[in-house]
Amino acid sequence: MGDIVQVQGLVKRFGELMAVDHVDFSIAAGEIFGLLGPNGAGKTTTISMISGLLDPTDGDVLVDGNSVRSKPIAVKRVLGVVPQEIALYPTLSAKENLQFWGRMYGLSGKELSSAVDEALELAGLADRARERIEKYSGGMKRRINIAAGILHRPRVLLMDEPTVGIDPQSRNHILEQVKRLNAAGMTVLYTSHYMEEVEFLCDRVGIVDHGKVIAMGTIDELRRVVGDSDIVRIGVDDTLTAEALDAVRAITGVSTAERADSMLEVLATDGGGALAAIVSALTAAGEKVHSAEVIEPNLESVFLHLTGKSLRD
Amino acid sequence: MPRFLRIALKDLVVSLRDPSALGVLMGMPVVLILILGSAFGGLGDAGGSFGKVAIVNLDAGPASADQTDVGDEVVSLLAGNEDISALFEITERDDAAEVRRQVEAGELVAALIVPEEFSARINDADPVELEVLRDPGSELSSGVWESIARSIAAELSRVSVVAQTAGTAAAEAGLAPEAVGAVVGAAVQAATGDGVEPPILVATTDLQRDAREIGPLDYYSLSMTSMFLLFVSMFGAFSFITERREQTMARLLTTPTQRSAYVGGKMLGIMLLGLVQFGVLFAYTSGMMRVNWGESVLATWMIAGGELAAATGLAVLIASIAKTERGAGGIGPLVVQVMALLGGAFFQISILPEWIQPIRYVSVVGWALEGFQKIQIEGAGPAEVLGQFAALLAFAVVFFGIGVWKLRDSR
Repeated sequence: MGDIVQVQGLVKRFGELMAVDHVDFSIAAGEIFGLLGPNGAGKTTTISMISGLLDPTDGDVLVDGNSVRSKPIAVKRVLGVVPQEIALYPTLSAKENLQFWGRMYGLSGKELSSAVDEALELAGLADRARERIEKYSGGMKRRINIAAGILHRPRVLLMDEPTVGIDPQSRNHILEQVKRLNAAGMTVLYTSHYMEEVEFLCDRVGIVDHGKVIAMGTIDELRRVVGDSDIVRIGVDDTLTAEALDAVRAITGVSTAERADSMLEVLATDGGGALAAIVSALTAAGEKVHSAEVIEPNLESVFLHLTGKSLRD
Repeated sequence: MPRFLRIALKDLVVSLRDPSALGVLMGMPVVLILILGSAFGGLGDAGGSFGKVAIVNLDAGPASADQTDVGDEVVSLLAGNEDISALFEITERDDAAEVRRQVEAGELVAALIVPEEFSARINDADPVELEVLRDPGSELSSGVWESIARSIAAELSRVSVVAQTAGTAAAEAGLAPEAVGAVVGAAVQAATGDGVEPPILVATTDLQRDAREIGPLDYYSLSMTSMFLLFVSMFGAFSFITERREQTMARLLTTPTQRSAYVGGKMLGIMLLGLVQFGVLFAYTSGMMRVNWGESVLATWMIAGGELAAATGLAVLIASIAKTERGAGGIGPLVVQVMALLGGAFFQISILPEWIQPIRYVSVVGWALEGFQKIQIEGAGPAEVLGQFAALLAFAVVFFGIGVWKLRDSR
């Protein structure tokens, strides 16, 4: 299947800050592509340029063959966007909001009416359609926020961290909905800093940090980047000394060891085998160990391996 | 329907669901017009007092000393009556022209003018008129005053008829003094009977608002409307800033909507809100308060439209300066109140020294108020207020231009 989105050498500079630094990737039609990275990595800026909201400093984006620079309206007709914020009108009802956004995407008459009804059903909020958004819970608002982006059945859906700050039940509902939309043929670009979501949803993933794509591939391809390395996560005191950290790094098989608050994250081949040596080194350095777990290779260990820091940093 | 119109209608609905917008744009001016109009005498009808009235006695007195000074009698019947004094604050005045001006200006609700040859004409049995001046803006108060004047005129007429009838009968018949009583009785009956034309009449003059001066209610209706129409700019700025903060603007710009359609829709939404506001204030003041806005409704709406265009431009400017709703909430009222002060919304600019009066022309409110007043006082039509309309549009262009320049500069 051909690429429906082609991001070519995309650059965005805000003064001295290089927010997006020569990013290249393509998304095949029907694919769910994930952009995984910590907050501030440049995911939202990238999506903003793809959707035509921000002008690129350099580079271009082609969506269905149209350049976002020269034919932004043609690009926007193909896209649906679900922003990170709840971008709805609080004093309008869910139905009024959806009607408005549907009209902005060019729907009208019966087509609009049925699209709104369908979106409300999908969101599970048909019975509360006439309530003002301001009375909704966070999860309900998120669902309408998504509904407003898919009313017009876009060929490409851009979702920017759509599950931030919601309860697990609503998150599951949203993830399942994304799967269903994709199964119906919609191409999805999904950004998140939640590894689990990206692993659950995406066919391919680009890992971004400091505005650059530092790794890209399928989940399995990315896992292979860290080989057999596991993450060993140790609960320690906030006052963990540099000497103790150095002692851990000196253990055979340990590739990185970083502390984030009261958690020490160690990337080590054969994590189970290394665990005893790590605990021993910490104890010998006078540190207390409060908890310990070994996590098999995942996108987080990839990120830790590539950047030396946790996704949550 | 074009997208910009959809955006404008959405904004109108959002604004009309905002209690603070409704309170400031419609509630506050309604209350302020009522309070200021009442405080400065235009709404005497609504209070317990019937307001200020004046009596001007121009009567030169009777031709001979044995005749009655009827002018003095009128004054004492009115000013000396406790019941009447409880209703009105009565002053005796000498300058009829000044009293006429004050009634025209609404400073007095009514006045009574006793003409120069009042006593002489009555004593000669010639018909004569008392003149009542009324402020149409104080219909009830001036109506009560007129009724009182009519009853006094009727009373004096009866006395006059009695005297004339008795005197004539006594002279012609050479009756003895004891028979005079019977003659007087007959005369009184004649005076109160049908078909008798009373010698003292009351002429009522409703002073029309085509005079140069207008009443406080008229003035404050126009000035408060001019001021509060400009408050639309603050809520317009809120609308821009809130859309920016809540990311609905960003979302809108990811739809196939041109930036020009977005900005145009937002601005049209502000205009529509202002037009609804003006419609409410116009209906309230002209319908319930009986304020006369002038002959030309088209010219009135033209000036309102011009001011709202300026308010819309100002909204863009405020939104370009203030980054938050709180900032706009500080800048907006400050700008509006300075413009209201300079434009004469709180007091008539004519009370200022002549050299400083042109200061009103730096204010949107000043131009709008001048336009409204030309329509109201001079009966101006659309052609006569083109200058004010053009000035308001110039404000709109300047505000919008600076606002857009600042927005581009900050991008």
